[in-house]
Amino acid sequence: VSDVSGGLLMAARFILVTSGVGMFGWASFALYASWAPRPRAPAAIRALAPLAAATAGVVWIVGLAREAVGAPGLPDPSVVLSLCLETGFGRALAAAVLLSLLLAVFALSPRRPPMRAVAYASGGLLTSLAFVGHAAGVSGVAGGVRIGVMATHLLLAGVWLGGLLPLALALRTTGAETGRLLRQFGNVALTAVAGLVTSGMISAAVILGMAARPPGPVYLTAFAIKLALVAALLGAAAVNRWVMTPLAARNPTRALRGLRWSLAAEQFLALALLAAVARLAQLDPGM
Amino acid sequence: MRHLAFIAALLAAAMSGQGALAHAFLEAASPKVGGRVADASEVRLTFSEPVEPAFSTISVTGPPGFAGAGAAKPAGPDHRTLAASLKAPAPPGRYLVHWRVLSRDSHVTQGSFRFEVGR
Repeated sequence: VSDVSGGLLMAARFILVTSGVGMFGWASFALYASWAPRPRAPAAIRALAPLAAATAGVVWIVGLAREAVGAPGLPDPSVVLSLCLETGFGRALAAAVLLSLLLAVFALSPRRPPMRAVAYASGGLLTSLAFVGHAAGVSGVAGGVRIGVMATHLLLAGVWLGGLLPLALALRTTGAETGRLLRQFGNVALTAVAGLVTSGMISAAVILGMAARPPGPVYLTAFAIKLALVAALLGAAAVNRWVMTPLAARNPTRALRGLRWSLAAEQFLALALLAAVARLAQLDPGM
Repeated sequence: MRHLAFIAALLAAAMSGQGALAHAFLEAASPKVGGRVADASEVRLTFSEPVEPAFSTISVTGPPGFAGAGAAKPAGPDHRTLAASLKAPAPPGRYLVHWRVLSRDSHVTQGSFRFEVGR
């Protein structure tokens, strides 16, 4: 894959995964913390994530068709259509684009959409992405298990990382309920992190243990960067859970001041982590 | 303990599949890479993971008089093997095989090797 195409595919993957994580996190937060205030942004901002996801999905499909053909310029539309219909990852990406468009319709509707429907659509989007990448390389029961593990990993990432933004926004107006919201998010996030670490370890063991060649320095460096970002994120989450949450019970004002910074840091680290994952997914472990 | 057993079972199931993960690389070829055969009627390539035949190609160039190879077609139930028939006759001489495949995990890989026909 050329550098330009590789960069484009990586950017498309990053935008699609990040949008999916954000939308699923938002919907699941609205379901388990339905009592918390949820300010509604203008339609243009609400539609930003699903439209960015749909665009990234189309760019991803066209980029893969271009790579598959191996010729410069835009691929023939019939090749793009054939990729969407005849390959497993093409069908998965086409489904992701359609679900993104459905989510855009939800976002643009004047009434609040049913959050359960948003959760199903955004969860379906994240699940479809498990079919595009290293986990989809093998068929049969083993392939099904790998895709299942990857889908679980993506959904749990959505619950945790995608829940950070709605949490930060809700904390602006929760007042005396700050401690309750933090405890609720903390319990959900803790469960999600446990599942994320487990599914991540299984995926890493499978990829590294079954790679065609021993892991190379480029892949190992990218993997180490991902692990460092995961460690930093867990550190920030631990501060929120075991320092800020008890502080919120005693002194909500002081806790909120600290939380503004720690949640912003956590979201920044989450974006960096998703970028590192997009890079890792493009690499051959043997590199 | 039950959680650990479940995780171990998941890991074992995930690692039970045939073939390696992450990008399709050439595992076996007939004629062999760099090999010499008395006659050749097809080039058969087996990769480290399943490939998409519709988006995979095998091209073969050879000595003067060689008529070329047909399209790459799936050969075998595991989707890891492709075969391209050589248009007869395959005169003695050196042949260059170039393959380019799209694997099921959406990655494109390519490579080439030589073989020889002759006694």
